[in-house]
Amino acid sequence: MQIVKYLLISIFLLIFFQTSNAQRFPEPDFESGYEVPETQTIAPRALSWEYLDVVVLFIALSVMSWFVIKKRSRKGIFWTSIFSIIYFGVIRLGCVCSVGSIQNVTLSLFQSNYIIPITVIAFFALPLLFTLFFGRTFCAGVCFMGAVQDLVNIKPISIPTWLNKPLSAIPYIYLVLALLLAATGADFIICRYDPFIGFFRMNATFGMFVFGAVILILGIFIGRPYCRFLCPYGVLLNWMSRLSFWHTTITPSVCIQCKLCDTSCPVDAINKPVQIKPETIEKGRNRLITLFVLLPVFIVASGFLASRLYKPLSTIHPTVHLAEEIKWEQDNSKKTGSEDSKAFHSTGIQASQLFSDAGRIQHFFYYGTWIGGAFLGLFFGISLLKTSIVRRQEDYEPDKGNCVSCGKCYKYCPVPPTP
Amino acid sequence: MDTSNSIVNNTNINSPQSIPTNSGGVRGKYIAKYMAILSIVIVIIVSMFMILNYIQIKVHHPIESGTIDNLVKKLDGSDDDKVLREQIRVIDLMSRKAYFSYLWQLKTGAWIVIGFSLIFIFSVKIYTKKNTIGTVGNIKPDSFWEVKSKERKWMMISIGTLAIVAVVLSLSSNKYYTDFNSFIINENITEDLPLKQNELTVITSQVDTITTDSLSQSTDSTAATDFPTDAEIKRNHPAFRGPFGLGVNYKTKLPTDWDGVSGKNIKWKKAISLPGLNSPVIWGNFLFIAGANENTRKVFCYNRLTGALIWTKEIKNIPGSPAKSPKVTNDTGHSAASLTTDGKRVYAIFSNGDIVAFDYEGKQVWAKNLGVPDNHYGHSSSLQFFKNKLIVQYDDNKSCKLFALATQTGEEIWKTIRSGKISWASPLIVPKGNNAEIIVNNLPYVAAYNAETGKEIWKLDCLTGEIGSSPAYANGMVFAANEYAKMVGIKDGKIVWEGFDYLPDVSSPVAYLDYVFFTTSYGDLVCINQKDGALIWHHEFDNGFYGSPVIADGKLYCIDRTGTTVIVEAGKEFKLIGQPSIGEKSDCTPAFADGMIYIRGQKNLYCIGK
Amino acid sequence: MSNEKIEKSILPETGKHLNRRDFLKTGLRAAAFLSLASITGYSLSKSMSDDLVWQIDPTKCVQCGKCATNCVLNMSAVKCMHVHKMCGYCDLCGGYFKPQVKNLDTGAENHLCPTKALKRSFVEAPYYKYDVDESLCNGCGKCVEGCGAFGNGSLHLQINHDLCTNCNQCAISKVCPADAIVQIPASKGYMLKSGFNT
Repeated sequence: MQIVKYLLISIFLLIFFQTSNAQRFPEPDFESGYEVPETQTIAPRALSWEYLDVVVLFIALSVMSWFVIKKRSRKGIFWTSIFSIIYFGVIRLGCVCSVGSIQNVTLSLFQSNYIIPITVIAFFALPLLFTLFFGRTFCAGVCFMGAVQDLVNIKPISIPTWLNKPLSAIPYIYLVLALLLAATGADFIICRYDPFIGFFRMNATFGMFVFGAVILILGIFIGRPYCRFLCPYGVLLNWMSRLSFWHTTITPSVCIQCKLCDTSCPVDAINKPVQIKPETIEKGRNRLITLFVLLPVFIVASGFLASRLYKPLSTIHPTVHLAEEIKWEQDNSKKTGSEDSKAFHSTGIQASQLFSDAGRIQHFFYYGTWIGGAFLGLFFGISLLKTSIVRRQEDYEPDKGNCVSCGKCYKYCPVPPTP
Repeated sequence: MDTSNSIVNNTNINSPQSIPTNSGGVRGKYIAKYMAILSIVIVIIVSMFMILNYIQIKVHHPIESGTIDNLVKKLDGSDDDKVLREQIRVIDLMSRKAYFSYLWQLKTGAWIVIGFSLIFIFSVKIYTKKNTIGTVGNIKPDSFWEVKSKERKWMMISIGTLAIVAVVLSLSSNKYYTDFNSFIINENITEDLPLKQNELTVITSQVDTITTDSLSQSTDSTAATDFPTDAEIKRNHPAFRGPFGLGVNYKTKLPTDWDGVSGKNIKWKKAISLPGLNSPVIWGNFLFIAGANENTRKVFCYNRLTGALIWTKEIKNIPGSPAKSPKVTNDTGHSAASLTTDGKRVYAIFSNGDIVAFDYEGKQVWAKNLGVPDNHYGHSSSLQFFKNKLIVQYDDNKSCKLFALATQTGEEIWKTIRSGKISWASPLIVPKGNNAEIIVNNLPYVAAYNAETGKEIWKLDCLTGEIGSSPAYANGMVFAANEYAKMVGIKDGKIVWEGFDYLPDVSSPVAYLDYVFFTTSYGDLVCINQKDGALIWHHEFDNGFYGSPVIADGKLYCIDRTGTTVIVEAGKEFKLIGQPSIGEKSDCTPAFADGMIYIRGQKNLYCIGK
Repeated sequence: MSNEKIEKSILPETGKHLNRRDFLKTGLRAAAFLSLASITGYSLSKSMSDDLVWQIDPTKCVQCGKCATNCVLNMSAVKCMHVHKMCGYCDLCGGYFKPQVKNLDTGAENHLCPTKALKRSFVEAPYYKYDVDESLCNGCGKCVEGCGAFGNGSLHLQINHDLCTNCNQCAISKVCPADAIVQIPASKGYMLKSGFNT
């Protein structure tokens, strides 16, 4: 009986396979009055909630700036940062964050067919705008990643400048790479290699967990390792903060050079008094001239070197990666049998079209690496120049670029506020 | 330089040396110390368990291990072994239990670790809370330049290391990667890079070409596919009036100013040796056009960038082809129907019923004769394709047929004989998920057909006269009109609105955003509201329009009979952008590529661009 | 602030050098503000008020199984969804039973679904209804493959918005061989297959 049934079904199936591309089995004709149910789907998060996120961000930034600039209250900063961890981290699970939004904005600048949600633009622009006015109050604790690191920073140690400076170049490299990959639509590496998001989602790959744990454990001693030595958004905030209209100060009044705040900064962002005369003028001037002359050389050399890497970098783009695979298949006249290869062959797209697309992407990468490399060269050149320039300074002041406005130095200043 | 409990010992300052903070809470500190130790131990132990658990799952995944599959195979081999079956059921239950409890363990473990980490942090904070503040840094003024030079040295070292790494990487890796630059097909195209996200454009684009809720049967898509994707079609100009024949093009940076007489912005101009009213079609760098007279029928393939003629093929010795071409009128000619191309082959049809496919090398793939049409003006319905089906509207005075021919072989896939009478309109394709609707005008019907099966979806009696205008489609609505009849807006096979003014005769309407644009043989250009048929604006030009108006780059391009292109803003205000002319009569519809427009005049083919 | 600065620059005792620096600083501030404004403005010009959500394009999905393992959530946000309107209500369901099944009963040895998330219930002879228990489904797509190969393809994988954290970069989209994971405006909701083809 069973076999007969099977035969019938398979014959039926065979016939259907041959003749029709539409559904194989007809719509059942129910006699019992059974009604076909709708597919149950749960609607996405309402749009109003997304806008609420922006409002919360705005309020948190305002409150934080108020605590930093007006109230000079470390306690206020601390509790605002706890709020950010809870809202942006625990409740919103960290997406979308301002750090990652650079990539969305870049993608929208370079790819006309990417339509970016307004909320993402707000997440990108609001912290930068606030920083231009008040310094990096976003970093102080509105950014939940900064807040987490601030929380674990129990026993801060100072990093000597000779180590601090080269490490601070990493965010620039990371930024250039992230922008290049985002502009080509290859990948959002900032999101992919976000060390903390896994803790909030309580899920990540093993490697990312280890990375996150390492950063946090380092963060016990080194103040905010991610913010200082990785965060690409920090580069933009750094620039904005240097130009900020108002910026927090260590002293509420006038610096008396008591040196008490000297080691109070967890991120080594206090500029100390420099009263010495420059070294022999001759030597210093010669070095400056040399470095100035070398600057264009740096830019061109760095751009050239980076542009040599455009091919390996471009394979991060899925299309180029696939093209490499299909090219390999063509050259070796066999199939790799990978899912990607199978999926590609089933689309019926011509290999020549794929290669053409890959070529255009590589083309983009070629110019992108040139520009990115040249930018890095400029950055390195200027960093070197800076090591040869001294500016007279009398007071203890926060370094406006690197200071994250965490307010930990406030309590070290013995000077009472001017009434 | 650490901030431990050291008390300020530098005395040459005038400020208070230390500020005592809350000095109580020794007991609190004692508790905090043990809390910290306890919580960190718990964190470490739980983390270790979680890591072990993780490794175990990696090595032996409870539900992916294949044990059950093996046992089931054994069961299939044996003759209904009841014990074995019971065993399978038990193992299955156990493995699923193991899997879900693993998930539960991970979640719980994570909560424990996070909770105790927080306790640890707070206890340590309490424990290390200082009673005094401040230690004085010991930066020696004379060491300033030493510090700077050390900084410079390490900067140099890092830059050097980076440079070496870059050199080594580029030297060692570059040979493993292919340079795809030589494979670029459309060098001059400045459109966006192919993106993973490009579905966005499709979904949010103004033309409602894909309705996401009508995605249909898909799982068979692994079957042999020999056709371009919708995105590729949109990137090209594969048929009369552009992608799917909808009249809406996606090209940008198009010129709006040229002059065929002075040669301004004319990139190249080529004389076509045979007459024809078909409009150029484009795929990649290939441009195809056809020409014919009573005796000769030819397809031409040009390099659209340079204007170089790549190949010319004559169509002859087709089985079933009549010795003498049927009589046609002069304003239709022997090659009025536009070609279509799907990125692999180009298809052409002529007044005697010959239909032919060439590949891009100019090799004839297949050819046949569909029967000599009894058509008092001459066959003029342009070709279209959907996936691997070449759609042919083949109307004559005897019958109205709609064919789907296999693009690879020319074999008939389906044929639908429609009631009604002859028309000279062309079909258009409205993609619906994996399928599409073919919208066709004939007398007196506007009708929609399932592109996969050829079955009629709806049919509406609303036209009269000799139908030359093709339908238009946008936002779920179909628009049709004909001189001496009326214009109609149709939704789901029902008339939504009707209008009786400014009716087109030869040119076809185009629908875009919320508007439908009609041009008439008397020089009228009108903009009609899609929703209710209300006239939004009207403008009269000196010369009549035979070529169809088309949208490109957000503008409306209408070519009049003298070869002047009226370019207006495709919006709710009438705004004339330009009236450039090729200086030669034309009844064809322009074709577009990025930055370039191709217009066929009476004798010449023009490439307009910078 | 600018007022203060201007005042400062007018004061006679401030050196010329400081003036220039203030001027430079104001210029740089304006430049920073303008570049931020122009980048934001340009993005805004092609933005939309809607949010983006991730969905699987069922016409592209090849059921490779990576959705089950690559989602950032431990039980993937990708679930099998059943479009009952497309279902043939077959007794021998290619999505429910293993390919070589002998007895059409609910015994564990016959199930295709590794977590037994697909439930079968009798409607009327000869029709059976199939439902997905989403709390058990891990998005492996085995049933989708089976249904597509032998049935109407009414089962398909889709991202459940209730579970999806809507990462800025979907981790699955990066590994999807068919590029089937796409971002769509949130107002479009779900990319579900529709009913029967005519």
